[in-house]
Amino acid sequence: MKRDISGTSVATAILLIVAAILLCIKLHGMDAHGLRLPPVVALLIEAAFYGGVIYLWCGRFNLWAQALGLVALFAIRILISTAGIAGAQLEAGHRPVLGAVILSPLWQSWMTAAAFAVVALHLVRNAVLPMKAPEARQVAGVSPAAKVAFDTLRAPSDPVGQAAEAAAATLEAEESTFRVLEPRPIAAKATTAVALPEVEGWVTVPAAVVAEQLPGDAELDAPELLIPYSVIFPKLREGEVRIRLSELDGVYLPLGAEDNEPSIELPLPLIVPQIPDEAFELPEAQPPAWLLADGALEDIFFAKV
Amino acid sequence: MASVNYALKEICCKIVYYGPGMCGKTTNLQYIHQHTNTERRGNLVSLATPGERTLFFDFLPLEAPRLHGFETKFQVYTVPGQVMYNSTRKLVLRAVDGVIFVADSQYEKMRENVESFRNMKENLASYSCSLETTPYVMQYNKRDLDSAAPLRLMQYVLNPRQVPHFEAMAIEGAGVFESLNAICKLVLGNLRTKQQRGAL
Repeated sequence: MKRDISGTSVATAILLIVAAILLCIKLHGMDAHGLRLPPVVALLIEAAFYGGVIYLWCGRFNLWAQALGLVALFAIRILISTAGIAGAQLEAGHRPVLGAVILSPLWQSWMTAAAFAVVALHLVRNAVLPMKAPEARQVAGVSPAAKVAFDTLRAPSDPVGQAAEAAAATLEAEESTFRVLEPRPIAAKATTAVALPEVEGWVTVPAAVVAEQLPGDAELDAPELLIPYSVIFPKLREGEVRIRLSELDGVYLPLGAEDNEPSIELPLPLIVPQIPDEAFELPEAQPPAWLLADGALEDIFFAKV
Repeated sequence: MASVNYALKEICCKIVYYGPGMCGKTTNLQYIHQHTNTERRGNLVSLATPGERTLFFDFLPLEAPRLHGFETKFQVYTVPGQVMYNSTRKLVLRAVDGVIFVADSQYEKMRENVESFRNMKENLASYSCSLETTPYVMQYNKRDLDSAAPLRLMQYVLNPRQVPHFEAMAIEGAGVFESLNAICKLVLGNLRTKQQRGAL
């Protein structure tokens, strides 16, 4: 679950409204102060606004996110514009004509702008940008070792990796001036090259367990957290499952708080019983030479008396 | 390093119980001391604090039955588990022939187990040794406690190499001699291999 109202939401909504007004001005063929904006300039300004909004949401420049976001924002804008124009023509008693719908001036431009801002905010920010399905598809169906190799060796320039990082980027905006609550997606990378279990699954952790360890200004909206084995197992080797909040889905941290790398410890007695035995199966290991030595004939040297 | 005295027909090996604090290393040694034929063991030397924490180390000399005409002696040590005594641990680990790593099975001790195991590897490395060349077995102690973690977790966390492991309740003696006999067998086997290679 995601928070709908935050500092970022408000700021970006304002930016989007401004962009929509520019759009209206362009479509009306007029300007705000007597200056006529050429359509190309207006379009560029609009695109620049969208780019700024996407940057604000992502926290840093990411080509994949920019492209995805621009396409989505323009698509939403066209939909809303079309609906507005059609409404205007119907109100005037005309039958909507497709060409006129696309080319005619907007109806009730302020209302259109506001609708655009709200719809774009919800759809693009909460649905389009966090998409990281390409990575999931690539990882599915490969061996655990290959998964580790994939996570470890994934090149930063890889567009698939960038798609995943676009979601995480929202949380890593170190230069953002907004102290707002942001969703933290599950990190895609394993910290060490540890063989992941063959079995895939999730561990359920009640929110109360996590909430009591959260920093004061962090929030948790979900009643329980689902944490995949792929996150838990690499940490189990350390004898504890300590997870950075950035690895949890459903936990909201103030931007900038990640500088301190807050983390929580999941109690082993809670999570281990949820993991099936087969997930703990160890891969075949090369036995040390001393284990293969066959020098001693005795099995019992000392016996209890 | 084990010493072989061909003139006296005597082999002497050093076994060390390693593990985190309060995991039961001294309890192992005490049980062995109490339940071994008095003719085949020396006195248990133990230097402990009033709180029964090992201050320096415990030492118990044991004598195994003759093997191929050789008198086989084992010097069994424990290390102090407390973090601050690493210098002592390192010293005790010097010239070790085999290690019994005693892990505390309780969930809340898992992290300490991991740190202690890592510390053991580091200390071995300081003598240019490693677990590739030094036989060791795992003993999962305190299996009787309600808070004991399942064996599958202990194995996953502490024994990815899948060396011999033993579940134990050292205070009752369960798994104590099994662990000791296993490491003695591995140590002597390793010794014989080295001898055949001319490394001794």
